[in-house]
Formats: sequence, C-alpha cells, structure tokens
Amino acid sequence: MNKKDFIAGIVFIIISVVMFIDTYTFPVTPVQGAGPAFWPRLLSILLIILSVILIISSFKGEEKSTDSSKKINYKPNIGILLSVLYFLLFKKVGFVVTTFFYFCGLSILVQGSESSFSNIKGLALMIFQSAVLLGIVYFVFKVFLRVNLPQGMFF
Amino acid sequence: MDFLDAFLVVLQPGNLIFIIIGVISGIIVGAIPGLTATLAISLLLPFTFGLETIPALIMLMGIYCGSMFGGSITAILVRAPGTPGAAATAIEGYPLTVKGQGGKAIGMAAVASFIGGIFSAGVMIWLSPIISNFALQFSYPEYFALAFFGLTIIFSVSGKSFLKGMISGTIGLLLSTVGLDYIIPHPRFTFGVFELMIGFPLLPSVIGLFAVSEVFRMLEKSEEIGRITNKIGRTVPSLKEIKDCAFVFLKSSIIGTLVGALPGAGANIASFVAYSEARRTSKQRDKYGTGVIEGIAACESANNAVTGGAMIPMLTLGIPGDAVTAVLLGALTIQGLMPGPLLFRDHLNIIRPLFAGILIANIVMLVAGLAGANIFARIATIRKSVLLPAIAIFSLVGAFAAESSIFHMGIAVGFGIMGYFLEKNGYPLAPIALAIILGPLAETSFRNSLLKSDGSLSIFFTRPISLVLIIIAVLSVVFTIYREIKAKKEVTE
Repeated sequence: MNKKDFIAGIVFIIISVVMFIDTYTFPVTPVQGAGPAFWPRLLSILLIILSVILIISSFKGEEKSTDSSKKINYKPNIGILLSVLYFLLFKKVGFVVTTFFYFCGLSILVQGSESSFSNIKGLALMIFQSAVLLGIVYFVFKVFLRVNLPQGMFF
Repeated sequence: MDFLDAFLVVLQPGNLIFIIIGVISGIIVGAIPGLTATLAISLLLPFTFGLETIPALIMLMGIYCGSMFGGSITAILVRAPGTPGAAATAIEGYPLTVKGQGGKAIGMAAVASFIGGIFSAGVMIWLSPIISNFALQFSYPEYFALAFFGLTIIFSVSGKSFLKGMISGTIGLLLSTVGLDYIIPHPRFTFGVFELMIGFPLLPSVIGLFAVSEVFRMLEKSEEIGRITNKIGRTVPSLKEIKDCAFVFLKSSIIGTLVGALPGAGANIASFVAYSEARRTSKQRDKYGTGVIEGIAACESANNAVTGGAMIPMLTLGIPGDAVTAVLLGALTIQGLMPGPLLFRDHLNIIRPLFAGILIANIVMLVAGLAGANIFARIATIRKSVLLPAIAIFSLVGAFAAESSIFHMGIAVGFGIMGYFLEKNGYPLAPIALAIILGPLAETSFRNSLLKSDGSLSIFFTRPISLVLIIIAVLSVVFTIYREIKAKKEVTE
C-alpha cells in the first residue's frame, strides 16, 4: 500500500467536503442556469471522485521501502520554517535585519555539515555575501522600483 | 500604428534598454540549472510591474526568449541543462566541450536559437490576426469549450500520472473560485479574510508555485553544479557551418513552432523531436552522441521556435498551452490587457510593438549569446550557498513589492509550501497555475452560456465549434487513460 497517496487522498477529500458544505452559504440565483455554488460544487465532487480513485489505487501500489531506510532530509523543512519566520518578522523587525539573517540561515543550511562557516574566514565571507546581496536587493527594490520596504524597529 | 512605427517605438533607448535587461536576465536565469523559463518569468515579473505597458511587455518577451537560449549554455559546458528544453542539447553539446569546442557549440546554439525564434515569431505575426479574426465570432459556449479543451489536455499530459495531473488541475480550479463571484457579487471561500475578496492574487501565487517551491526543492539536493574549468574559445560559427545546417534549421523551426502551438507540449518535447528527426535524416548518423554540431542546431532552433508557436493560442484565444505562457498571460492581465481576439481588434497599438519587441529580442539574444557566453556561464555556476538564498529573497521581496503587501508575501510562502509538497508527491504544478488563470474564464463562460440557453446543457453540443473541441478533449482524455492502463499491464506482465 502506498501510504502517501492514501493520506493525500484523505486530505483532498476533507478539503472538498469542507468546500462543498460551505457552498450552502452562497445565495441561490433566482434566474435560470447555474448560480455561484454550481461550479465549486461540481469541482469538489470531481475532486472527491478523483481522490477515491487515488485511495483505491494506493492499496494496489507497493510501499517504497527505500523511503524509510534512507535518512530523512530535514533541510527543506527547516527552509520552510525559515521562510515562514521571514514572512512573520519582515514587517515588525524590518527588511534589513530579517533579510540579512534569512540569507545567512539559508546559506548555512545549504552547506550543512561541510559548512565552511565554522572558521572565521568562512563566516566573514558569508557576512560579506549577505551584505552585498542586501545592497543589491535594496537598490533594485527601493531605489529602482521605489518600493517602500518596511524599516522595522531597528532603522 | 503600422509596423515601421512599432519598430521605431521599440528601438527608442527607453524601451530598448528593457529588452536588453530582459534578454540578459533571462539568459542568466535560464542558464542556471534547475531554473526554468517559467521560473525566470515569475521571478522577474515584479520588475515589470512599475513599468509602462510597452516596456513591460517587451521586457517579458526578452526574458522569455533569453531564458530559452540560456538553458543551452550550461547544458553544453557542464552537461547540466539550464532548462528542461535544453536537455537534448547536452547530448551533443557536452562532448564538444570535452573536445575543447565548447565555444563553437554555444555559438551554434545562439545562431540556432535566433533562427528558430525569428522563424516562429514570423509565423506568429502572420497567423495571429487570422486566428483572432476567426475567433471574433466566438461566444460563451465556444469559450467554455476552448477552456475545457485546453485545461483537460494539459491536466492529462503534464504529470507522470493522469490521475495526479487531474487532481492538481482540479485543486487549481477550486482555488480559482475563491473570491467574489463574477456574476452575483457574493464572496466565496474567503472565510472572513478581506484580502481574499479578489481571489488569490496572481503574481504572488505564481512566484510561490514556481520560485519559492524550487528553493525548498533545491535544499533536498546538496550537490553543487559543476564548475567551468577553462575559458571558452571563439563562439562565432563559420558561414559554412551555418550553411550546412540550413535544412536542419528549417525543419526544426517548423517542428518547434508546431509543438509550441499545441497545448500541453513544450520546449523539451520540441527539442527531442527535432533532435531525433535530425539524426534520422543525417548523413553522419553514426557520429551522433559524440558531439555533432548539427544536433545542437536542431535542438536549439526547435526550443526557441516554441516561443512564437506557444504565443499564438495565448494571444489570439487567451488560452495558454503551457506554464510559461500561462504566466505570460497573467503578466498581460496585470498590465490591464485581456488576451483574446479583442486584443487584436482593440489594442493594435500594443500588439505591434509587442511583435516588434519579440523580433528585436531575438537579435539582442544572438548578440548577447555570442559575446557574453563566458560571463553568463560563470554567473550561472554560482555557488548554491549564494544562489539559493538569493532566489528566496528575490521571490519573497518581489511578491511583497508589487503592492507593498505583506499578505502577498504570505501567499507566496503558502503557495511555495503547497507547491513543494504537491510536486514532491508527483502532482505537477503547471496545471495548478493554468487552472488559476483559466478557471475564471471557464466558469464565467459556462454560466453565461447556461443563462443564454435557459439552463440547458445542449448549447455546448449544438454549436459546431464547441462540439468539436469538446469531442477532441474527451477523446484525448480517453486515449491517455487507455495508454496508461496498457502501460501498467505491460509492466505487471
């Protein structure tokens, strides 16, 4: 059985059911034809049908054993966490500080255990790179495109 | 405005500079392995936001053409195709680099891309008015049939599995229903979030789907892109080399334009088809795979010919055939233009400079490709520890920048996470983008048709054009399912 397909199928069904139920809050059209609820209902039913097929076929599929034996790669999840943090703090803490640390965080994450940032030289290089990129982004968006970047609490 | 005026407008320094910026940034992003033309346009879209319509559009054309060619640089030099469309280029390109003829290979790629691009742009300029004129008689049922046709074909062919492609597409269509209803102003699925009244904003959604999700995906693989060891030599191919490939250029350009105009098939298919066609008819068939310059000519003229071909249905009917043109269509709507037959009737003052812009973008691409291959190659093989954060920051700040909206940045992050997990589990992303863009057209034309017919579905089957389109769409879906079941049976037997 393919667990991932099974779980995905369940998630898709839950989403469709929630959307389907929500369509009952939409107004009913007095005129002929299809109202605001028609199309979303049609689509959520379609998604439910597709998900049921997915779930049925997930029982036939074989579990890939390589997935569990292989070491799980946490890097993308940490990257997602960093991006969410960047988004949450962007306005409050400000563009300069958050962008600087977001760069450093991702940069260290890419290098992982072979990180060259354990020594002073590598660390200095990363700070330099981050500062240069910050300068480019600042120039492009603030000076060239005249976007109001949030200054936050430090600047 | 006639064509001469249009050229003069585009050649004004204030406009020309944006083509040059577009082409160069397109080449660079295209050359970076893993970053596709779709990503290049999504990533650079925020920069066109503040521009006037004409510079914005011609810059997008520059990015499109540039990124298609850019993929060949790293395909040839380090055997890491910058875009999927350049995958076939690596077969002949890399052996040439090993032999020390990388420069010649890139030069040929630039010339081939130029010829393919110009050829298909010519076809587009010639055919578009004819098709759009024909499409002027379309009414709601035809538009629904057209959207149905485009969507089903793309859903069914874009993934590895038919089922997962359909699921992706349906999710995208459901997402497109969020926001105020088009006919009766009632908010749908906004769950009290005021910003969702207008639905999911296109720009941050596209940036999230294609750029942010790519950042997370890149974190999975830790290996670096190969480094370029020695300098590239002379890049300008000799006249004789170009002449020898004349027939290959022509054939591949036709293949590329045709494949581009078909929904669901893109640059990667075009270049593989052109490559095998060139090999099949070549005199030096046995040498293929060891570095035949003709092979590069075939692949590169085909994948750049896709540009003009793919633009035809997008501009004339408002139906994009793949993810790149879907994003381009989004960019046009952001500029306040609605692609479709009316565009050719009402906005010739935009269309002509756009056409002139594509032709000039191809010339700029040729010059930049021949002169700057060395620099582009070096920028494209930048270390991942710099590249990855840079893409992340540019896409998130770009999503924020268009409307100074932190909500938009949140959408980009959200769609990035969604896109990453979906693609990781085999659900293709192109159908989602297409569905978000085409969903409103499909729904409104469907409902308006029913209003016209007093609720009877027969309106879609009694009008010849809509009937034919629906039949083709259904047949192609049936055929895809049949082929998939047959392939599965063969595996188990």
